[in-house]
Amino acid sequence: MTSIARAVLYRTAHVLGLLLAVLVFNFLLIHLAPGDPAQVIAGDMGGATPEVLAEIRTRFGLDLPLHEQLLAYLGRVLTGDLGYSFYFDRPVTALIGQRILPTLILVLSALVLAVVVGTVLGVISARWPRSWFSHALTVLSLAGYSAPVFWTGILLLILFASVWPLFPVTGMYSGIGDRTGISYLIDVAHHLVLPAFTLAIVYIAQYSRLSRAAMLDVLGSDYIRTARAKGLGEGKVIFKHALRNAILPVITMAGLQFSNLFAGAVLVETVFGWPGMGRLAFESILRRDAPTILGILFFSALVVIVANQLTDLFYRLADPRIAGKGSR
Amino acid sequence: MDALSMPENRLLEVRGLTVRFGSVVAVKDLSFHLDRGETLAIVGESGSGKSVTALAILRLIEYGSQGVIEAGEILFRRPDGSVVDLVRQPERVLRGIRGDAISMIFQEPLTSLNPVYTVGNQIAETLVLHRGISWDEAMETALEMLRKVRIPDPERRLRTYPHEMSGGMRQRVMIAMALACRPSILIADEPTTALDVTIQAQTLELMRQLQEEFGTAIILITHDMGVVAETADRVVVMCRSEFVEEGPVGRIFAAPQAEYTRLLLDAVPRLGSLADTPYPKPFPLPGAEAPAETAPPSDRPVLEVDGLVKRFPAAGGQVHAVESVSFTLSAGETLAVVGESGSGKSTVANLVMRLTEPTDGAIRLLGTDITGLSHRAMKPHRREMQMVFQDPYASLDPRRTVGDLVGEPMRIHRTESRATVRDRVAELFGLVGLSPDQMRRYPHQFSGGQRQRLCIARALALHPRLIIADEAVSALDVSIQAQIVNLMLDLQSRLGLSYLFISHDMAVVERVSHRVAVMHLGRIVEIGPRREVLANPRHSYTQRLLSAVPVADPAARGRRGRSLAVGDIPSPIHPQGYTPPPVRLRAAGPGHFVAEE
Repeated sequence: MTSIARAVLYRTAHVLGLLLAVLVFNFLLIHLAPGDPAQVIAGDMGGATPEVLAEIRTRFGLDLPLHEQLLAYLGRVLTGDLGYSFYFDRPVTALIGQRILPTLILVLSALVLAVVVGTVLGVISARWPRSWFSHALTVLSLAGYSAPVFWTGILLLILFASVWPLFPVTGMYSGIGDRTGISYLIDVAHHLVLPAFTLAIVYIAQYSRLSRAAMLDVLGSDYIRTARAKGLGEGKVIFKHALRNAILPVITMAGLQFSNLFAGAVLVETVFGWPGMGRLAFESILRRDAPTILGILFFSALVVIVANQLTDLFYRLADPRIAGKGSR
Repeated sequence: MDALSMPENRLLEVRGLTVRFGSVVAVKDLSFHLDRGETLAIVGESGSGKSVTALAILRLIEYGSQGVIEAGEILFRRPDGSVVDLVRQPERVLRGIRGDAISMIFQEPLTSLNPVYTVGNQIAETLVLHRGISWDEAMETALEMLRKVRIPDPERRLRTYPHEMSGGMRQRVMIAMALACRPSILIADEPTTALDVTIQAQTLELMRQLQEEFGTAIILITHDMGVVAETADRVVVMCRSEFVEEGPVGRIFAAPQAEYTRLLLDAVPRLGSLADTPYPKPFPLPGAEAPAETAPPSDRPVLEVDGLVKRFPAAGGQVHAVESVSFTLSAGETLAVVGESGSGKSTVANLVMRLTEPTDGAIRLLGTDITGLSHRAMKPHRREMQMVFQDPYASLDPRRTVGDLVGEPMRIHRTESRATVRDRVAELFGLVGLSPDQMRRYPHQFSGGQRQRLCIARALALHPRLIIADEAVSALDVSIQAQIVNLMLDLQSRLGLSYLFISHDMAVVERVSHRVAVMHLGRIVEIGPRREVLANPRHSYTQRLLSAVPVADPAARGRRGRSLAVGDIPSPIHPQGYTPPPVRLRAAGPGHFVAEE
């Protein structure tokens, strides 16, 4: 396990450096955008006399040189202060804290759904590559891959919330009564089905193709022949010997695409009225709410970086050949 | 149940087996049998159907490539004495036999083990499956098996993954796995083909001892007549999906009945058969005129290598791939560089070609030191030396016509005008024994031997003085190998070529070379006239290497005592800053030098 411990240490340093770079880059990007932040703040506070503008500038350090503003910003972020949103009239940390959980629930459910369903479909079609199922999957995954998220989302809404009202139309929980415990979780899960599935469709399509190809490759390999020559049954051959090798490319792709999934959540949350970061981002961009945008960018970067590191660790656990090599 | 009776000591009887893959008949009407405790070799060249036969016995051909047993019976005597026809058993019964009463080992020990499970897990799995014992008990037995196949430090090895082991150790693991349930039949499909010759000798000896201990009958699938002569009791010869002949090993070698067997045996290079001449000599192939000895080389040096050193960075230090290597090669001469994997012989080839940069040392080609030359300054010198590689399938671009491929060097170096390239390509085709009509074809339309002829034609395109042949005949069947060796010798005497012949095969080396350099761990441990080095080896490593070569003569079996040393080829990786001891060569005869030990 020492090699894993060393990898974790190296990765942590790497992550901290990356986060710093993200902070600086985002900050500069926002300040490159045209427009006067003081005007925006004043607009939200109501009224923009020159005195008020001047006061806002001094209060938020907007009259200082850019590098000093940057240092002050970094200092505040270090102490956990991401600033104050005048539009929402709340600290950004509190704002994001409230929205991050729904988004994580949505994104992680979609990820698990994509990996599990995609892999299972891929494995089945690889085991019987000439079956009707395999051909149907090829066509369906092409369709799933090509359809845009907002379109499938609306289609699913019409079908399963309106024509056959199996699932709720919008939101994360029902407003009726105060549910607690299991009943609350079931309610959230019920609301989660359509948005999570919508978000996952593209990735289910991709991972089923990916795992099908990987599985076909693995099933033709020498060690599968060895496993069969040992007398192992088809179940053991597939699920013990083949799957763990075939899933490696899926892990790689899932890790790489986590950020895409996060970005996809913006659209899905908007379509399904899911109270997550995506919608928050959408609103704050419309409002030019710089502190909130910066906060969201920072948090998204944090989540994506952490996800990538986790992928790396998962990969090391799944493939001993990688685990043996140093931290580079 | 009359059809299902066999003599008492018979384990397996294959009758009229025909196997088909789609429209291709891979095995046609094959019959043979196997008795208790004996070793039956099934020999043949590629495409003979021998490996398909091996897989068909366990009905493993039905997976993946979807082979079908079209006709025949495979009678097998189960350990309880009952006889079953494997062709007519359901999958469930077959699974109970696979890995238990009949087990298999394969050619590639690296790819035949699952990379994501420990060695212990993979051995224990078989035991849990067939013996119904607990994992802990199975791991105990797995440890016991690792001891039996003499893997050093078995407790630790149990928990390691296949990629952490050498090829020889992996094949030992495969053997441990196959024998764990004490099968009555072990089917070994080219079990030592991927191994170095000293490791091969150890592995074969190990298999022989375990066979004695376990009483297992072995079906050995191989193309190597040396291995057959050393291990088999009886031999079945196959050619192009068909049975050729069958008999006791002594009779097959001494008095082959079939024409094909005779041809096959004639093409086998036998170490020691050229002890009477210092020069290379073509194989005596039918249809060719009486093999003449080739001309003695001149003493004009074409290549002089002086104090060549190459080190690569590696985890935990540096690979000392090549250490103080010096030699010269004259016009019309062949110097063979022999050694096992990791000895540095291919690195020497790459250094001479300047495909890798040396850490130290000088390479003089026709008197010019080429080590420091820029890419541009190097270009004219590249014409003087060309390379032929091991795998003729991988070294020809499949999307271009062969005429285009052979003509490419001339276009790169602009040695011919557009109009004359074609004529020169036609001339080269003739030179290597191909018809110029075939210029417009693609590589996949040629056989392995023809492709190697194409590679040689391409190498000759620029009128080089030096050809570096890196294992150029190692991937070919023996009959094709003999033809290519004869072609190379013919070209040498006609064009006055010098060959740097890199090989691990001592018997082929004897055929082609004037001088031999033996490499071990990056150093030349012995260099000298071929006859001297092979007949009178002075360095202990050369002696070990030569004694490990299987001899294609059953009568010579057991004449040489072999130790069961469990050796891995030692690692050439040393910590940073390690200074290797200097190489001191002492003269052992005219032109014969041996490293001090």
